[in-house]
Amino acid sequence: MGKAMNKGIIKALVIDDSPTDAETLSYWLTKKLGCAVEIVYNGLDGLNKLAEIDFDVVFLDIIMPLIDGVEVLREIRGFSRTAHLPVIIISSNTDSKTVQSLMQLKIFDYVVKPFNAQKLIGRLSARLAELKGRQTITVSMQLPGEVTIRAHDKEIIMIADDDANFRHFFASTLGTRFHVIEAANGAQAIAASMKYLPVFFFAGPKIGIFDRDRLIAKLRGIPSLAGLKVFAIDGEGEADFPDPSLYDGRVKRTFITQAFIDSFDPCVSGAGADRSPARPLGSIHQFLISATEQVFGMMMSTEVCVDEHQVELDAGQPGTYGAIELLGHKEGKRMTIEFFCDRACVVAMVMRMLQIEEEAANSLGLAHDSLGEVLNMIGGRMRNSLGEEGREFDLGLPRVEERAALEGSAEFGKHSKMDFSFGEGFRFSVGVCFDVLSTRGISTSDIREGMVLARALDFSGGMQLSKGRRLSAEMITEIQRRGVDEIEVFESTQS
Amino acid sequence: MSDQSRKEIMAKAQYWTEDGGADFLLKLLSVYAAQADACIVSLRRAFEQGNQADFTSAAHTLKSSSANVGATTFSDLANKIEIASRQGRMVQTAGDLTRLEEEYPRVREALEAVRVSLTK
Repeated sequence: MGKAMNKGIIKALVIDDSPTDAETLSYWLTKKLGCAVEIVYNGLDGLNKLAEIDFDVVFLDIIMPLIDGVEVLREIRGFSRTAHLPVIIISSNTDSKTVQSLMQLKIFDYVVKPFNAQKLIGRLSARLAELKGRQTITVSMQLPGEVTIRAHDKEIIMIADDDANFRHFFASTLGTRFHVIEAANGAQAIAASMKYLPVFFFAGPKIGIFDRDRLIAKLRGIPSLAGLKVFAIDGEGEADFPDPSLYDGRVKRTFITQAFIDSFDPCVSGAGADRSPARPLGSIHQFLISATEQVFGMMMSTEVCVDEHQVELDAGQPGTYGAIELLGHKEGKRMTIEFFCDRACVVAMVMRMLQIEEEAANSLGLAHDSLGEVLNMIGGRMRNSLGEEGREFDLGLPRVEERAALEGSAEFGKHSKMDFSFGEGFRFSVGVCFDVLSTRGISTSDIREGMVLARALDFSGGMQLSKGRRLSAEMITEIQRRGVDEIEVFESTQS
Repeated sequence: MSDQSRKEIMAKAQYWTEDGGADFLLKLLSVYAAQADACIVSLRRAFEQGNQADFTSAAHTLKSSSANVGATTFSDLANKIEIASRQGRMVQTAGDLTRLEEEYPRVREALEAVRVSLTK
């Protein structure tokens, strides 16, 4: 990845058998996001093109004749030169098996068809900015208390301004000293700030339809951004001097490089040098957002975005709770990914996932199976991300249940939590908490009493099991057939 | 549905035009027309041959491509047909397929009106 990138221009290959869709996507990528785009109309041509030319990113349709998108992606991952190439799926309708295959093949993101121009641009601009940043950024993941995000000695700063030319000037001027994230409007700015946790935030005079002061006030209210330094960027003679209670300073908005630097440097005195501040959970938070947006989005064939609002769960609200664990045997740590939403949201999810009517989607069994599958996929993504950092975690079983109230809500997402939204205002919450893992061995005679981590047995249908549930005769037979003598049971104690 | 399709297509055309994409829209209309013509033919042929895979594929393509030119109600109907076909109910889509075929010339008319207005 990155070999093709020249002067910050991202070279994209679109593989889609629908000329209308391919041309439309190509138009937005070229005109609005400044990419250099090539189009091919089938998977075979796509693979040939990739063998000839280095691209920075591939946009891949799934349902295509002859070679479908999953097969193309498998080929891409199997070829050393493209094994790590970011691939963005163009999805309109995919079943859960397809989605699972895609997730295992490490997709970078997904785009829902038919394209909604505004959403498409908003989503891709953030993702492509991330792609540009990948050339220099290295994320280091550790568990709570020791999690840091390092950008090769570069700190992350953010520019929010609806003038693309100024953003480009800002990024190119400061790109050697900082990792610069760009946002063209207020919603992007909030979402990206929560995702990347910048050290400094620079706000232009116009940020889409968002009033600048209102945007900054919102940022100031987000706990995870406590300590963020915010600067207004204004041209000379700007009448409205920003509210000093909201801003830490002011930078001159000019395209003259030296004048800009002279104004900029005093604001960030000492920064942009060799400093790598620790941000608890920064990278895990970021990976979880990405995994949640992608898995839920793909499963429901709709845009799922992290919400700019902070989660304040109502402990008395009935709803569906789900969780899946990642177990670090060597480190003795357990990460639990949790999910919670109300009934209406679950029904909307199931309707979209299974493409069924509301009446059928009201089945709790269907809801629990569908959410279990989603949690399984998210857990798999997180395990892979941890694995890339050299950390070995095993995936536990998803468990989904109805709760009359979210008991112990203070524990929900104890170490990190966030809201996501989709469709007509549906929202759900995802959280992460960690604790210490202790294990003890048990013999097969104990298996009948349940409390088994089925993943240890490599059951493809393991998600049908949950802790505390008795094993069926069929499963016991399977365990015996595999000659499993001992199964670990995982218990946890709070750290 | 016809009036609705026309309004949707006009609204989308206005959006493209205001966004500076009039030239691209002209190109897109031509690309869509060729693609959608083929899809409509494929749908009927696949239906009569009982070829569910081709039928689903054609409906799928028509769904997303039509939405890109603003024919969202037409796209919704293609989506309905696609879902039914995926669920093994292709035969029961006969009525919706006929509606789709009847509506298509009106979608083309609306797109042609857009094309003419852009080339004036």
